[in-house]
Amino acid sequence: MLYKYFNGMLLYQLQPSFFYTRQDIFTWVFMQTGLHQWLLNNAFGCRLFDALFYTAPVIYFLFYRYNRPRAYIAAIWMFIINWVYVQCYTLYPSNSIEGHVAWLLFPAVFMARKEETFEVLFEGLRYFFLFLFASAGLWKLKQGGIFHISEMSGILLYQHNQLLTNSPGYWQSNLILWLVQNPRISYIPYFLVTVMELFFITGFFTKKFDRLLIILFLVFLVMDNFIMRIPYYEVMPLLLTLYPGTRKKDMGKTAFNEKIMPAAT
Amino acid sequence: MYLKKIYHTNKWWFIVILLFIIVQLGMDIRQDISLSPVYHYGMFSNVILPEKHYTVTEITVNDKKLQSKDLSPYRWDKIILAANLYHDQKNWNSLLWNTDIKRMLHLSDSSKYINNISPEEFNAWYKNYLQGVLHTKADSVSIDFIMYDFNGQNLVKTNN
Repeated sequence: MLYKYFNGMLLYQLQPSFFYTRQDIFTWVFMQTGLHQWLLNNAFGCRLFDALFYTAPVIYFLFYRYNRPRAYIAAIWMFIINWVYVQCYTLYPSNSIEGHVAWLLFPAVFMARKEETFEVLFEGLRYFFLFLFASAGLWKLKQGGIFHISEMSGILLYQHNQLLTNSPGYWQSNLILWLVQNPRISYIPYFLVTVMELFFITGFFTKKFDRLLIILFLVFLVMDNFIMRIPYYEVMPLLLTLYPGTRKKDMGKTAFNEKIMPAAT
Repeated sequence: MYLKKIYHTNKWWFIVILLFIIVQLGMDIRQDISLSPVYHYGMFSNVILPEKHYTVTEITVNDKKLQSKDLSPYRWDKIILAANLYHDQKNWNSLLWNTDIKRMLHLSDSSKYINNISPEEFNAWYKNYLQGVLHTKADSVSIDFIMYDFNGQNLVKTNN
């Protein structure tokens, strides 16, 4: 939240005045509510939505701490708020909705009323996170990006044509231009990222590489920001599903209940 | 197996997750449309090769061209996306309405899918918006879409 605030990316800071419809059937149905239009040029509405969105986890935490049996109600509230907020937020010039998938899916895990249900939902999120990257690697094979030596040069020109033309001589522009001019070298990171993405497939069969997957993901995040200038940090909560410390057998049952699971009594 | 585990734990969640998997795989194969929270995660998997020409968005404030190097990626995207998406929104939103939305949802009223913002309103809004991002007064603002050629080594402004 602070990172978004200091980058002017909270909803009230976006000050939306128009929307850009996307190819999403759920979004089209959602747009029938008119909420996305109500927020246009509506400073109060945007601040209200920001407040509801960022207080929802706090409300959940308070329920979990002081009224655990009803914590799932706060989780349902958080789920609804997250969906409404993200649907609206990503209709405006902000970020892609794909980058907000963690906000959409994670609250569902906390809606569980039983420990066993929570565990399997949390595990399900882990498979989803693995799928997210593994599918990207498989699509690079299927759609053929990996088979073209100039692929990364093309991507860099597509992504950075503004930087290259408005900031010539800047160190990052020089680096990117050098990579564009040397496609065999720029292809290497693209190839390595594909291998990394495909490596996530191992997670479907074993958990022993989860620590390595965490490191690979963090490297990917940093390099994505550095080379592509794409901040993908909002997917980070999904990293918790790989973290060994959140698994029951690593912590012991009582510690697991205390740390993660909203106990239903 | 995971599905077996969730079936024995909670049958309602089993149905939800099974549906999610089926829709995710189906949408991934189709690649043309999403159904939140099911999306396609290609991450630059399609073939993108260097092109001969690029249309580059340039923003000039107070007669000075804005430079990406002066802003964080978030702030730069904030400025550029607003300009690019406004430029495209009228055609794109109408296209989606006419080709897919009204047909698939059996609707006749497009008012919730089309913007009502005029170019003058956008220009006034954008000026104010830039002032908020740049923390400087914007007396003049212009958005230009300039053609550049890629000559194999660099991007060069197209001679008209």
